[in-house]
Amino acid sequence: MSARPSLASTLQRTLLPKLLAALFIISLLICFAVVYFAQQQVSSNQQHHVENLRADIDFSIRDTLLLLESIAGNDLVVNSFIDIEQRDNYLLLFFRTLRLSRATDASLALFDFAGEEVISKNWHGQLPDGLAALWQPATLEEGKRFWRIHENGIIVAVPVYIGSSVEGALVLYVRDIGQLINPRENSATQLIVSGTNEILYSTAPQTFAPHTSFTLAEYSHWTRYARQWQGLTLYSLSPFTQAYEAVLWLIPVLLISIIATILVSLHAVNRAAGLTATTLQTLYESILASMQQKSAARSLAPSDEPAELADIREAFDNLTVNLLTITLSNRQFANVIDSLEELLVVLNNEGHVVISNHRYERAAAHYGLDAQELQRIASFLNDTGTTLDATYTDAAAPRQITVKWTLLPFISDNKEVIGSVLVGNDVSQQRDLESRNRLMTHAMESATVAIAIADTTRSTMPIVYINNYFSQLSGFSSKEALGQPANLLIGENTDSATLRTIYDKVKAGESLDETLLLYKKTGHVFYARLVMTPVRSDTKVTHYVVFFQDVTEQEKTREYLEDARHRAEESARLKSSFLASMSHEVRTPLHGISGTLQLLDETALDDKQRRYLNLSLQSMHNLQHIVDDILDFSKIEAGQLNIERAPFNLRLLLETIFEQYQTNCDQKGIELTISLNLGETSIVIGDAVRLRQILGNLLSNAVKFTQSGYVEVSIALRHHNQKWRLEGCVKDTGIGIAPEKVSRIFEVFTQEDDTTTRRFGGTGLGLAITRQLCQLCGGDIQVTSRKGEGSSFSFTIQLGKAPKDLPHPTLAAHSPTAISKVKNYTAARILLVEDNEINQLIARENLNGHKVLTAINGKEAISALMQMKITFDVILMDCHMPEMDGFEATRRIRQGEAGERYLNVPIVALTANAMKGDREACEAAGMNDYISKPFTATDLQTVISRWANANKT
Amino acid sequence: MRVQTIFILWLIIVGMAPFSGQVHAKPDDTPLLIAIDADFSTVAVEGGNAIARGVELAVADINKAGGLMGRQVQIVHKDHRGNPARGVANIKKLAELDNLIAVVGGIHTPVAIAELPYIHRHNILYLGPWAAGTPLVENDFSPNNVFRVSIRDSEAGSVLIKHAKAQGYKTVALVLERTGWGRSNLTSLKAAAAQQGVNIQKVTWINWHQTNFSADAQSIQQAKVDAVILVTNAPEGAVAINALYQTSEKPLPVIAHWGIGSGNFVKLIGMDMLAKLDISVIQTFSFLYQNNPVAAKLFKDYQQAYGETSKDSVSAVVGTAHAYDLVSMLAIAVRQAESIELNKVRHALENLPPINGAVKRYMPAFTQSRHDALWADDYFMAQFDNNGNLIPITR
Repeated sequence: MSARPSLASTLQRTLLPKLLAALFIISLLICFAVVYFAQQQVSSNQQHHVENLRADIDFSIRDTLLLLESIAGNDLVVNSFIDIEQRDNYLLLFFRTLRLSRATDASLALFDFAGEEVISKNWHGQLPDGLAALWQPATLEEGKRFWRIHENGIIVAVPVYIGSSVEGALVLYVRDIGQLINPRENSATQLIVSGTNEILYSTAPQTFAPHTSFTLAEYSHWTRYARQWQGLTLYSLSPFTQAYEAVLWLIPVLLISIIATILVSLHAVNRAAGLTATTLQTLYESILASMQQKSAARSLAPSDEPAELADIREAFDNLTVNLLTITLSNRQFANVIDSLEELLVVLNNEGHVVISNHRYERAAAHYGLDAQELQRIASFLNDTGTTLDATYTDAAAPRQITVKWTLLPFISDNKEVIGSVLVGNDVSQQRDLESRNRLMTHAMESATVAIAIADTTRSTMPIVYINNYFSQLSGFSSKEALGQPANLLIGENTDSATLRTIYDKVKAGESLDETLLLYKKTGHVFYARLVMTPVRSDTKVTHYVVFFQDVTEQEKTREYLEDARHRAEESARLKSSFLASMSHEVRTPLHGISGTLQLLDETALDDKQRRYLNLSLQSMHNLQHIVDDILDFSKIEAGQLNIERAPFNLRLLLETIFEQYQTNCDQKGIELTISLNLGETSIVIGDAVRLRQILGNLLSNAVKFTQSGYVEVSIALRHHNQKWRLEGCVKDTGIGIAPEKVSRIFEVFTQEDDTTTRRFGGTGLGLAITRQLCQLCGGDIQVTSRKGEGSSFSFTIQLGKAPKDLPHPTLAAHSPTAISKVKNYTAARILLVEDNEINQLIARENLNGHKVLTAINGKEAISALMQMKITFDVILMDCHMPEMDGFEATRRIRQGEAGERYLNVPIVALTANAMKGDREACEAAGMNDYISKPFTATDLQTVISRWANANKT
Repeated sequence: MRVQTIFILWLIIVGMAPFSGQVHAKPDDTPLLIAIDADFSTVAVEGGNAIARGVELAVADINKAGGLMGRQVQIVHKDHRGNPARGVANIKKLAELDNLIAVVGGIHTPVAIAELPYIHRHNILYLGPWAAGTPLVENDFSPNNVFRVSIRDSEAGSVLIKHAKAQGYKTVALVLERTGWGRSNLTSLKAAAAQQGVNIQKVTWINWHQTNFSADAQSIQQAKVDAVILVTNAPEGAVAINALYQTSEKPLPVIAHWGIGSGNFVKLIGMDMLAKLDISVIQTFSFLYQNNPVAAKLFKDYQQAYGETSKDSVSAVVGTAHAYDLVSMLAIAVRQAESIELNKVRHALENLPPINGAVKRYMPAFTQSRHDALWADDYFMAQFDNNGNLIPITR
C-alpha cells in the first residue's frame, strides 16, 4: 500500500500547473485594463470638476433668488409699500438685520414700482454703471427673477408682489463671485476667467491669483478641461504627474493580489485532497464500529457525506438489521402479558409464582399481596369452584380496591396440570356506581314534584318510571302507570295546539316548558306546568324525563288579567270612535249656526238686531275656536293628528299671518315689529296649516295679554342636517307670567291663574296644543317671562328643503290672492248632495249667483246626473249621508254609472270631521278636493271658482 | 314732494343749459372728465368695481340729462392697486388732464393719505366714497379739497364700541392693520372705549399680506376678552379670523370695520367656517335697509346696467351708493357754480341745498368746516347671511 501515492499528492500534481498558467494570463489582462481606464478617469474628472463648479454657481444663485423671494414675500416688506408714514420705524431695522449670503460686502436695495429706491444697504457707489438699471425691465415690467454674472460682479433681482401685481423689486449685488461659491476639495485647480482673460475666481490663489491675467499657453503640459458659460470660461487644470497619481498605487496592490491568489489556490487543492481522504477514512471507521456493537442501530453518518459513500453505508446497515430481528419474538410475549389490565399470576403445583405480570406486581406492592395470600385464594377457589371478591386497602394511601378473582388450571404441552393460573379483575368502579344509583332512586322517589320517564325509542312512548309524588298527584299507582303510553293524563279538553307543539319538540329532541290541562285518574282536571328534558345516549334521544306541578291557581289568575286587558283595549277603541263621531256631530250643528248667522248678517237689520247678531257671531267664533282646540287636543291625545309634508311659500304665509295681526295690533294701539331672516328661501316643505296655528296661537296670546307697548316677532331659517330649522320668537310687553308658573304654562288647562281665565277667557289648551304641534313638527317651544314685564316664546320646527326646480305653489285657500280671484267667477252649474236641510240652505245661499240643484243622498245624486239634460260643472258632495254616502256615490260616478260625461267631473267633498284619514278616504274615492265644515262663504266660492273653471279650460 | 321739487329744479337747470351755452362766445363741447383712482386689480377689486359702478350710474344720469353745462361727462379709470406710490403717480398723471372735474378715490386710506399733498399741490377736487381714515378729511390743507360720503373712523370707533357694549362685551381685543388706517382707528377706538367704559385688553397688529396670525390669536385667547374688533382689509381679515377660529373651539365674536367687505373675504373664509362664526360688520348702506325712492331708482338702474340681482347680494354695495351720491351732488354743485373751476365748485359743494340721496337725505351734505357727509347715526351693523351677503341687523 505504501508504494502507492496518496490521493492528496495525486490531486496536487494534476491541478496546480494548469491553475498557475490561467492566473498569469488574467493578471496581464487586468494590468492593461487599469492603465486604459485610468486615462479615461483623469479626463472625466476634469470635466466633472468644471460641471461641479458651474452647478455650484447655479445652486448658489438659485439659493440667493429663493432667499430674496422669501424676503420680498415677507409681510413687513409688503406692508412697507402701503405704510409710507411709519415704515422707516421697522424697515430700517429689518434691513440692518438681514444677512443674505456668504458674501461679506453684498449690497441690497428695495425699489418701488417705478424703480425709485425705498431703502438700501451698502448700495451707493458700489454698483458699476452698466449694471445699475439692467434688472429693471425683467423684474418690474415682466415680473420675472433676474440675475447676471459680469466681470464686475453678480446682480440678482426679484419682484415684490402685492396681490398679483408687481409693485417693486428687491435687488442684491455681490462684487466677488468667489464669495458665492462654496469651494470643493479636489486635486485639480478650477478657474473662472473673463472674456478679457482676467481670473475672476480661483481655487488655488497661490498659483493663480485672482484679478491677474491668465495665459493658457503656459500650461500646455497640464491636463485640462475648459467650458464657455455666460460669456466666461470655466477651467479645470492639473499637472500630469498629479493626474496619474491616483493609479500608481494600483501596481503594488495588483502584485500582492496575484501572490495571494497563488497561495489560496495551493491551499484549496491541498484542502480538497485532504477532505476526500478523511471522508473515506470516517466511513471505514463507522462501519467497523457498528459491526463490533452488533446492534440494529444505524451507523453514524457525517452530515456532509457524499451520496456515493452514503449508499455503501446503507447497504452495510441493512445487513446488520436483518441479523438482529430474530431476537425480538421472545420479548413480545413478555410485553403481551405485561399489557393485560387484569392481574395474572401463574403458580406451580408447589404454590410458587412462576410467571406474574406488571399489573400484579404493582398491586402486590401497594396492597400487600404475597404468595401466602395467593395460595389461600387458589385453594378457596379450587374448593368452591366460584369467583371471589376480595377487598384490599393500600397501606400508604386511604384507597381501596375490590378484586374479583377467578382460577384457571395451568396445563402443560402434555395435557398435564402443572399449576394454576389466577386472574384478578379490578371491580371497584362498578361497585361505586351501584351505590350511587340507589341514592338517585331514593331522591326521585321522595321528591315533591311529579317525575315520569318515557321511553321514546318505542312508538307508544311507554312510561318506564314514575315517582311517588306522581302517584299522589294523578291517582295512578306505579303498577297502573308503568308500560302505559305517555298520553296517560291527557283528556278531551287538553289544548291540542300545545300538544302538537310538545309532540313536535319531542320529535326534534328539544327540551320544553309548557302549561297544560291534564286529567287525574278520578277524571278531575288540573293545570300542570310540564318541564320535559331529553335523555341522550350518544347523540340519540332515548328517553324523556317529565317534571310537572299543579299550577291551576296561577293559570286562573293569568286568564283573569288577560280578560281585563282586552276590555281596556276595547274601551280605548270606543273612545277613539266617540271622538270621531263627536267631531262630526259637534261640527255639523256649529256649521248650521255659523252659516245661518252669516246669512242673517247679509239681510237688512236695525241697529239693535245688528248688535245682537254681532254678539252671536262673536260667541259663535269663540265657540268654534274652543271646539277646534278641544278636537285638536283630543286628536293629539289619540295620535290622530297628521303633519303634512307639502311644499308651500313660507314667506307669503308669514306675510299673510302678520298682516292679520297687524290689524289687531293697530286696533289695540300696540306696535308690531317683525324681523324675517329667511335668506333667499321662500319655498319649503312642511305643514303650512300647523305652522299658521302655532304662530297664530302665540301671536293671539301676545296681542291678547298686551295692553300697551309692543309685540315683536322674529323668524329665521337655519341649515340643520340637510333640512331647515325655523327658529321663531314672539316677544311681548304684556302681563307676563310669574316665575313659579312658567314651568307649568305648557300643561293642559293651565293659564297663569284663575283670574287670568276670568279676565282674558280661553280654554287653556292653546299653549299645550302649540307645544304638541311644535314637537310633532320636530321642534320644541320655550318661554322666558317676567311678571308684569312681558313674555318671550321661542319655538323651532323642522322644515324640508324644497327641490330647486319646484314650481312656486300657491297657498290655495289660505292665500289672500286666491280669495281675490273669487270675484271673477262666471255662473257655474252645481249639484249639491247634502242630507242636512240647514246645510243645504246655507250652501245654496252662499252659492248665490250660481245655478244650484240639490240631492239628499248619493243614490238621488246619480239618478239626477243621469236624467237631467244640463251638464253640471261641479259636484259638492257631503261624505256622510243615509242610503248611499258620498264615498260610494263618488266611486260609482268614476266608474261611469252617471254616464260618460261625468267620468271626470270635479267632485268636492264637504266633510264635517277633519279626522285623520278623511282626506285619504276622499282621495281614494276619487274626489278632487275637500273643504271642512264649518266653512265660510269665501271658502266655498274659492273652491267653486277653482274647479268650475278647471273643467272648462 | 321734495323729490318732485328737486326734479323740477333739475329740469329747469337742464332746460336752461342750452340757453346759457348760447350766451358764451365759444361753446366748448369737449367732454368733461371724472377720474376714478382705486384698486381694480389686487386686494379690493370688489370695492373698486362697486365704486366704478356708482360713478357710472351717476354719470349716466348726468349725461341723460344733457351733461354738465352742455358737455358730456366721461370717466377715466386709474388703477392704484392699493399701492400708495402708484396712487401718487396716478394723481401726477391726472393733474396733466384738462377738463378734469374731480377724482373719485378708492378703498385704501394709506393711498389717499399719501396722495393728499399732491391733490392739493395740483389743486384737484377729491371725492372720497370709501377710505375712512379720519385724517383724510381732517387734514392740514386749506382750502381742503377732500369731500367724503363714507364712514369716518373717529365716528366708526364709537359705533363699533357701542355695538360691543350692546352685546354685553366688557373687554375687547383689537386686530389692526399696520398702516395709517389701522392707527387712525386705534386712536378713535381708544377714545370711544374710554368714554363708554369698555376695556381694550389687547392690541395686535397685522401686516399687509401677513399669512400667519396664530401667535397673536393665541395671545388674544389668553387675554380672556369677550370679543374682537377687526380693522383690516379682506385678505388680512381672513387670515386673522381663520387664526382665531383655529385657536379656539368657541371662536370669539368679531365686530369688524368694513374693510373685510371690500374684497373676497367670504370666498377666502368659506361658507362652512362663516356659518360657525359671529361676525358683525359696520355698514352705511344696503338696499334692504335704505328704502327711499332714490335708492329704489338706483337699484333699478343697477340691475338694468349690470344684470338681474337680489337686494342683498349687490357686492360691496356701500361703494356704489356712496359714489353715486357723491357724483350726483358734484353734478348739482357744478350746475350751481356754472363752472368747473375748482374754487367755485368747492364753494358750491360747501353750500348745497338739502338733497335726497340714496344713502339718506343730506341736510345739507357739507359745509365749509364739515367735509364729511355721514356720521355715527348713519351707520348700522350687518351680519353675513347663509349666502355670504351682508344683511342689516334689524334695530
